[in-house]
Amino acid sequence: MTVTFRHLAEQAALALTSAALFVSFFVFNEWVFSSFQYSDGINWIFLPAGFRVILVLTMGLPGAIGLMMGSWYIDSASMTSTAWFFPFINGVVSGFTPWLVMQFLIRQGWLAPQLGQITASRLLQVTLIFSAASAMSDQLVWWSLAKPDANILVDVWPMFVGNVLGALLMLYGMKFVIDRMRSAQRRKD
Amino acid sequence: MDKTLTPFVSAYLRFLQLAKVVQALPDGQEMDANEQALLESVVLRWYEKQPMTVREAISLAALGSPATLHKRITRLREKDMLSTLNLEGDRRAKFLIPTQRTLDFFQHLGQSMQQANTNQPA
Repeated sequence: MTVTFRHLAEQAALALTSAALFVSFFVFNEWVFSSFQYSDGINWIFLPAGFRVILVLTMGLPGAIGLMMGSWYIDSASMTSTAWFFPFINGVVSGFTPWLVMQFLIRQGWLAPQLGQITASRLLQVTLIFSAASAMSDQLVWWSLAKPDANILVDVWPMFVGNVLGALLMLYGMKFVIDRMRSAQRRKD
Repeated sequence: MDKTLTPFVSAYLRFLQLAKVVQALPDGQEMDANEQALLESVVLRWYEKQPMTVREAISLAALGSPATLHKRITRLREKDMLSTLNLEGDRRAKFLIPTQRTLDFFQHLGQSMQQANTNQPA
């Protein structure tokens, strides 16, 4: 019982961390890359997409739940008693698409559950697949629930490009920080 | 195995895996086969405690012409895989020595070789 409670508590903490990181980088992205906005909700550079990759790969389901909660928090201003369904579904799709893709890749043998033996090229391929799946699922939800007049075949591309660029910036930012830390450690030694 | 790990431990271990892979992401600093062959020759001489001079390196006819080899040395220096050393008393001779990045690279190759050996069926 104690173990179950501890597991639940840790999963809740991971989900909250995931949500906080996603929201923080969403706000940061709006602030830094506001001039790269293609249309409402679509940016040519979308840094939180990088967190989608990192959080779902490292945290699994709690990471996806955190992404969903983060998305709900971001959309909370537009949630009213009559217009809650679209933001609600948008959050579910935004959070669970990467997780479902990850489960599919694990089932296909492309990824190990603990990420063992993952290579750099496989990580880049996974990033591309996550970006494409997120862009397509988000656009499908928008088209079917919110913007039936939207041209999904056109709008999906800026979203895909934004996801890919954002994810690559995040991953290479992480690489830059780790490389600098290792160099500093070597100098100290 | 999943069941014995707490969510925190599991997330941390996956993060370590991811961090290791992120470090191996291509960054435009990779060497081609010709550069690696030259680097191996230079590092072997350094390992034998007889570091190669630039003049000797550009004379390795089996690896290319002097002009080509000079360009390759420049590229390896730009990629932080080689540095030069002047000995006291002889400032004309420039010795080529590996950098820490090069040693890390060979260490990685050594580890991979060892891993491949241990993974081989008996």
